[in-house]
Amino acid sequence: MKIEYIKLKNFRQYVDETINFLSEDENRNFIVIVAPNGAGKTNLVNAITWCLYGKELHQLKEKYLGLPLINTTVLKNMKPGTTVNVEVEMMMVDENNGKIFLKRTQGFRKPEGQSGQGKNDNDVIPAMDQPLTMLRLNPGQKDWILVQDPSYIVNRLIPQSIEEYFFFDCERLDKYFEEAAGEIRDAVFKISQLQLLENAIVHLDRKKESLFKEELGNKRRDAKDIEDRVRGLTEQLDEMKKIKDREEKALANLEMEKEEAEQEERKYSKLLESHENINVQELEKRRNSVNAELETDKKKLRELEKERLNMLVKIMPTMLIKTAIDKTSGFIAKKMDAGEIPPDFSEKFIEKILETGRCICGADISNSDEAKKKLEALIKGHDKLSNWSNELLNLYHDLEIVSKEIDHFKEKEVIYDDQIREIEERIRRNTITVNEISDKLDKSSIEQIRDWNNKLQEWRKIKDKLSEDIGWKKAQIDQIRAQISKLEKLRSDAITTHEKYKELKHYDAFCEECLRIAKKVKDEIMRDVKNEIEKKTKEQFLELIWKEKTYTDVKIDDNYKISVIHESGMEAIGTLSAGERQVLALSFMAALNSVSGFDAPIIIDTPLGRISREPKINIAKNLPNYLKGKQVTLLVTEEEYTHEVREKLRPSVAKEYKIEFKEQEVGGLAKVVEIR
Amino acid sequence: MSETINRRILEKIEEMECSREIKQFLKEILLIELRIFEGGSIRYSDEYSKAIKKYAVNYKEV
Repeated sequence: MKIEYIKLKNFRQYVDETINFLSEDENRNFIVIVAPNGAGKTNLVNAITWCLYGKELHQLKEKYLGLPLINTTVLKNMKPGTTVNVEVEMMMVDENNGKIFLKRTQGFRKPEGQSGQGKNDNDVIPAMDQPLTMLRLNPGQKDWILVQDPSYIVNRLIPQSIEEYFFFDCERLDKYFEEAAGEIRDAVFKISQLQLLENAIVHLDRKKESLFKEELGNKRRDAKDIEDRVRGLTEQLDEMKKIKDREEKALANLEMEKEEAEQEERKYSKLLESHENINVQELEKRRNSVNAELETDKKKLRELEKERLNMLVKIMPTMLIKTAIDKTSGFIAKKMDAGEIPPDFSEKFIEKILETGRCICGADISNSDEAKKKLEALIKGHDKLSNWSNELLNLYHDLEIVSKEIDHFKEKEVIYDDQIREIEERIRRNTITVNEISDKLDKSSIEQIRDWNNKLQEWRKIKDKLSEDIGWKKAQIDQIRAQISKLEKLRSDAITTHEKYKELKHYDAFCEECLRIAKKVKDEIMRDVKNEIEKKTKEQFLELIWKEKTYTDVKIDDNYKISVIHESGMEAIGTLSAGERQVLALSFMAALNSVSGFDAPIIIDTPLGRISREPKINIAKNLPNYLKGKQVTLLVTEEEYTHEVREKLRPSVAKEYKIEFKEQEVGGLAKVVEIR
Repeated sequence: MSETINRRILEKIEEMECSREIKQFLKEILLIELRIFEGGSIRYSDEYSKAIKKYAVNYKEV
């Protein structure tokens, strides 16, 4: 990946500058930008980091500290209330000609009420913070695609955490050796992507440890526990199945016994039916009942006949004189009807007529002695007549009572006769019934039938008991089946767990082997990378250093602590001059980049600042070899970029620029001029 | 700049004496780590689970 161009607008001292980085000659990957100190070399690097990460990551010169990003001249000329944008635009191209366009913009607004003159003229308000815009043109495509998450892609290109290993500030380079060795080791890890491998190992190890917990909800279990559980459940299940078989056989036996009982029951039922359905017990019971009724009726009949006889004996004499009674009674009745009895007048009535002397017809008899005598004679005759009449009337009434009793007897006799007939009829019928039952019972062997009946009842009892047992047995079997079903589910779950466990064991073994291989890869690459960096650093340092025989070796330990071995055999890094340390740093960085997993452009700020003439030429001669295939931008001063250096670098230089800087009251203006 | 895994690591994995599944798995988890490193919002645990299941299926334990 190379930078095709950078366009800067109002960024620090750059008002409107475009720097093209590519030449037609693909072998020329060096770009040289020459500028005096303070002209804008570091700000050019910062323009790139600001565009990529939104931050100026390299140390600002003192004169720019506290100033806004916007060019101070532009700022000064801004009218109050107006807004001006700061923009950095980059185009990058990869080896397949895919392109990435990046642009970051920051608006600055000058507040109202400023005159445009005076010390407050540098006050601006960031007006607009436009995020990074990224467009991508994939190889072979014509349409640009707007990238939704440009920060993500930027970090894929050059992660911010290691950008300083690609955008070197050589004034800081020698300080790297003063930093904790662990930081360099971390940087090497990141640059060579060993960090990825390290993270993969850590994550894989964690994943491996959590496999069982995630899948089985518990920590690693002993396979034997799971197998024992499966085995135990299988044994329980087998045992339950045996019990079930046994109980089912028992049930079958019970059902057979019940079938036998039913057969016996049917047999005795049939036998009893074949004897006209004679139920001896029932018949005997019936006969006893009828006999009892018969006896009652006979007793009742005797009583009725006795009552009837008594009544007849009592009424018989009267009945014998019934005719005389009737005649006498008729005679008296006739007299009565004739008015002969009783007398047809009252004694007192006659006495009253005599007393009053007036007849009922109204005639006055008071003066008629004859009438009075007759009346008095009537009174005298009346006493005798009346006595007879009373006697006859009493007799008549007695005769009437006797006659009624005779009539009543006749009525009662009819009732007695009816009752007697009814009872006699019942006795007759019951006698027949008893005789019939006796006949039936006589025809069968009562004992046999009783025996059959008893057997029938016994078999029924047996059948009922067997039905009860069968019901109970079925309930038992249902319970056993439910237990079997439960055990089968438990065993199935245990088997599933076991299968899952086996699967997890397989995953575990796979992860284990992957971890082993990953660690081996990491160890070997660490060793290779370290050895390679050590080898290249040593080769490059010894090649570049001007005291050819003073130093014999460069060593890098596992923590990337660098040692330079003096010819005396002593470690000499502490005694290196600033120039020597810069050569060592350049050698180390070049070596680091050669093993880097990142295809990033390199920008080196002031690479030869502290290095004397001879090694400078050496570096200029060898650096293109050390960083072969990399796009390298050198930001140099006139003092660094001597004629000899230029000549040595010439075959590799694609573009050469000069920054013309014009100092201003505050800040300055820089113009980038292509000089080759 | 890198949008892929360092070739050195990939070559080293290829050199290892192990099954193809392990090599493919390691390359895949390195890509997962690259995405995580570059700020991708990825749950490594889920991604690792998928990768393990994908490659362990055909892995034969020695």
